[in-house]
Amino acid sequence: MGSGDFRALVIEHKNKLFRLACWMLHDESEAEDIVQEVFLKIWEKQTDYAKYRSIEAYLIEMTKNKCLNRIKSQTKLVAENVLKHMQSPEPPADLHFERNDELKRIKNVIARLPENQRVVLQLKGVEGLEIREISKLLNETENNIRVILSRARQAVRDMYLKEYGYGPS
Amino acid sequence: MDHHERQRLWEKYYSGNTSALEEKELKTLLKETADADRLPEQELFYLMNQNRALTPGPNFEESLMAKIHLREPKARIFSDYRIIRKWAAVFVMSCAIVYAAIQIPGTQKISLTTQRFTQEFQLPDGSKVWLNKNSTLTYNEDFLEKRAVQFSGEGFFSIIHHPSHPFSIETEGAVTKVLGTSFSLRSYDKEDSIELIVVQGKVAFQPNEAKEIVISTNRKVVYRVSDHKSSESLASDLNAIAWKTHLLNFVHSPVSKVLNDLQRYNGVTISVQNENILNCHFSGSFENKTVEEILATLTFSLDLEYHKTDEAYLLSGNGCAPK
Repeated sequence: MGSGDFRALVIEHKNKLFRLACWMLHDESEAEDIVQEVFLKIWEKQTDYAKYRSIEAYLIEMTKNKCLNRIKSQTKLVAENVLKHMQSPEPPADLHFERNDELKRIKNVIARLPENQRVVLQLKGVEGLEIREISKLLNETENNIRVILSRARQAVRDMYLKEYGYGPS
Repeated sequence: MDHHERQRLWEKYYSGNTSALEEKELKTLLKETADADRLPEQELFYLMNQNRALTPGPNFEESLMAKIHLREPKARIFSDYRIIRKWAAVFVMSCAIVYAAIQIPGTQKISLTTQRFTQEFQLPDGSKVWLNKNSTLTYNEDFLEKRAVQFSGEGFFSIIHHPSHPFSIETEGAVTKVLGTSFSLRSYDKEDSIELIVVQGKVAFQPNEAKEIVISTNRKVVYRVSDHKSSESLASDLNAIAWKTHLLNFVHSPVSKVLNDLQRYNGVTISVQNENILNCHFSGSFENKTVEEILATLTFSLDLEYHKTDEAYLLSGNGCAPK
């Protein structure tokens, strides 16, 4: 692959890979690092991407895996954070004034979803992809994707309510 | 929407069956009604919104290229003493770059070819050339003694200055001679015209059937091969070489021009459902954006919509009244 093709590839995919990595890591500079590693690997052809259905599927899979590896190496830290939050749930605050604090909770919830649920939630909700498109990218049946999506959404709500104590009255 | 309908829509959402449109509806619903029971959804949608707006830093590509440069493998050398040898490096998306080395008694020819993607090459003298899609540049083995190349397609040339070795480019119908400069040359075999845009320096353009024209910085010439007519003008608009620079700039430009530049930039076809759209004007600068991202901005600011059909885009909407 020449540098021109490579550049076209980077330009076409960098934004969505970056968003996915941010969604997984909630850290923009780490996300940028991950996405660069993914492209570097493509450039060096370290892996066999021919077995993937499309280059996009391959890029997404690799971004996801690299993020998970990064998370694993930080698991201890995250676990401590979650524990802290569980012990002292903050009082309900006005969403409009304390967005950032509030978002920490939803981020913590999402961080504990199984990997596929996390990815599907993002591809559907943020990238606006159709079930059919996601099924092609992740190499799962459409029905499976729908089930994963449904579970992810349900789990976010259940975990959130359980954790932060405002269950339905 | 009443309580019952809202409930049904949420159920659909939780079963994973909502369409993109219905999810948009839910988003509006969350914004408009402060339902305490929907706090998790409110936060999730807010987080998704935030995520949607993220882009990597402005130096993303630069630092990626720097990392690559550090690990760059050694250049490969192509040669063969038989007639033709071709490499087809077929990358997944069938982007293929073919290097061919042709043996002719005495001198060996080296060809640089692009097909579906643009690519940058460095010539033996250190000059650089960026080839747009479907372009070919050929030079002899003794290039360093005589800097002469044959060319068809579209290329951006950045030629190293060398007073005693002028650089010449032979195309169908004309020869372009340069000392040291940057310029863009477009001469596809299937097109009747040759276009030369000089970004910096001086270039002598010699049509086969007409007298030589010297083009200097920020000027361009378009030459028609069929009737040997050439027209020279100020090159105020560098959108024509966006395929190389990835920069597109519009200042109160008619939509007809915007679409024209976009089509040239990426070889896509864009048509309008309503001629009045072409009356609108648009301003904006884009760096490293895809056609789709640019169309999204354009249609948003002019209240239009775009649809993708195979390899073409169709714009629809009210447009603007003719002046």
